[in-house]
Amino acid sequence: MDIAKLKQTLAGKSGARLKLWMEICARCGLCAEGCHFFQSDPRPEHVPAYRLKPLAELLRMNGEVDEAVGEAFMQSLVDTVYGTCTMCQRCSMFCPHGISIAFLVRATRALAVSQGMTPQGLASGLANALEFGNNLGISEEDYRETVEWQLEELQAEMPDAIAPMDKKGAEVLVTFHPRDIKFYPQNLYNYLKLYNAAGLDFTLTSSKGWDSTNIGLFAGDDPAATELCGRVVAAGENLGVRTVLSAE
Amino acid sequence: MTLLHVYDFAAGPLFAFSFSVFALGSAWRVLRFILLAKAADPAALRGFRPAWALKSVLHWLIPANITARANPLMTFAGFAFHIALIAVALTFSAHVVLWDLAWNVSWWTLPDQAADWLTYLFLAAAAFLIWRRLALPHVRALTTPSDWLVLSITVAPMLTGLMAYRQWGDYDLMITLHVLSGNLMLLAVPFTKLSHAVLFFVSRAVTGSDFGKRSVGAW
Repeated sequence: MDIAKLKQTLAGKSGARLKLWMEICARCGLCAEGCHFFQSDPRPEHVPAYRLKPLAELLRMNGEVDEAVGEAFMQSLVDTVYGTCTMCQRCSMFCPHGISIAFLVRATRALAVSQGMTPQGLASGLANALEFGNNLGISEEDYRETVEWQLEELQAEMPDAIAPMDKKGAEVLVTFHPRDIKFYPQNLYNYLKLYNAAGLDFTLTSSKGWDSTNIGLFAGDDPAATELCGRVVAAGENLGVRTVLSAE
Repeated sequence: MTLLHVYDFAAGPLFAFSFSVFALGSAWRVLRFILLAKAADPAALRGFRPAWALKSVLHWLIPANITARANPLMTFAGFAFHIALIAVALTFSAHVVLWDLAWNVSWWTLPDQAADWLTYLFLAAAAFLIWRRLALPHVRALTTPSDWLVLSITVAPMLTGLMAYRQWGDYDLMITLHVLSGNLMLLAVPFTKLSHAVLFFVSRAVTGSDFGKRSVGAW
C-alpha cells in the first residue's frame, strides 16, 4: 500500500461534484431500479449507491487506511467498483437528486489505479492501447490491410466507394472500435458503405488516433486517458477536420 | 430554571441563531460548490445550461419522471413527506403568529384542521420510509446510523408539534421539546444530507445540463 499516493489521489478527486454527491446521497435505493446488475441479481451489493461505500469510507478516514487491513479493503474496493458497475449511468436517470454514480465510481477506480490495482483484463488492454494505439494490439499494417480488404469488397457492390487514409482537410475524421477491425470487419464494411452512400467528406487516420475507445477513461487511469484522448485530438488537428466521429 | 425558561430561550435567541445558521449555512453550501468547481472542477460549471437545468429541476419538483412511474408508492410518500413538512412549518397558524409577534410580519395560514391532517400524512409517510429502510434488504444494506439520526431529527418536530397541539402528554414538556427539535432540524440542514434542501437544485442543474448535452432528455 502506498498511503501517500492514495491520499494524494483522493484529494485530487475530491472536487465540487464528488463532495456534493457524496454528501447528499439519501441512500434511498431508488437507483436500484435502473441497474442491470441489480435487475438480474437483486443482491444489496448490486444497488448502485452501494458502490459509494468504499469511497465514503476512505473520505471518512481521509485516506488513512490501516496497513493491516488495507490490502483487503482495497481488494473489496476493486471488486465493487470494477466488478459490479459498467458506468452506464442508467442509475442517474432514476436518482431523485440526479447523482452521477458512474462519476463517483470512476473516481474510486482512480484510487485503485493509484495502488497499481487495475484489474488484469483492463490493465493489459490499456497497455495494448498505449503501445499499439488500440486496445486489441492490432498492428498498423493489419489495420491498413483490413481497411483495404473491406474497401475492395465494398467496391464490388459500390464501384466508386473510397476510404481515404490521412486526407488533409476532410470534413470528418472517422475513428473505430478496434473490435470492429479485428473481429467484425463486416461492421467496417457497413460503416464505409454508409459514409460513401451519404456522400460524407471523410478520412481515416493511420496514426494511433484511429481507436477512439478510451480504455484509460474506463479504467479510471487519468494519465492514460489523457494520452489516448490526446492522440485522437492530434489526429483530428493534424488533418484539419471539423468533426471527429467517435466509435461506439 | 423551569421548562418555561427553556422554551423562552429556544423560541427566542436560540431560534434566531438556528435560523441564521440554517439560512447562511445553506447559502454557503451553494457558494462552496461554485467556489470548489471554479478551483478544481471547471467541467461542472462549463457544461451548465440554464434551460436544461430548469427542465431537470421541474421534472423532479413535480412527479414527471422515470422514478415516479417505476416507484409510485415511494414517490407518493416522498412528496407527502416533503410537502407536509414544508407547508406545516411555514403556514401553520401558531408559527405565523410567532413571526407576527417577533417581527410584525404575517402571511397566509393553513386552516388548523388541514395542518392536522397534513401532520398525520407526514407521519404516515415517515412510517413508510422507516418500514422501507427496515423491510427492503437492498435499502437496509445501504442504511447508515446517520440516516436514522437525520430521519429522527426530521420527524421529531412534527411528532412533538402534533402532541403539543393535541395536548397529548405534558403540554409544557411537549412544546419545549417541539421548539428544541425544530431548532435542531434547522441547525442540521447545512451539515447533514438535509443540505439537499438547497443542493438538490445544484445537483439537478449539473446533471440536467449533462443529460441535456447528451440529448437524452434533461431529466
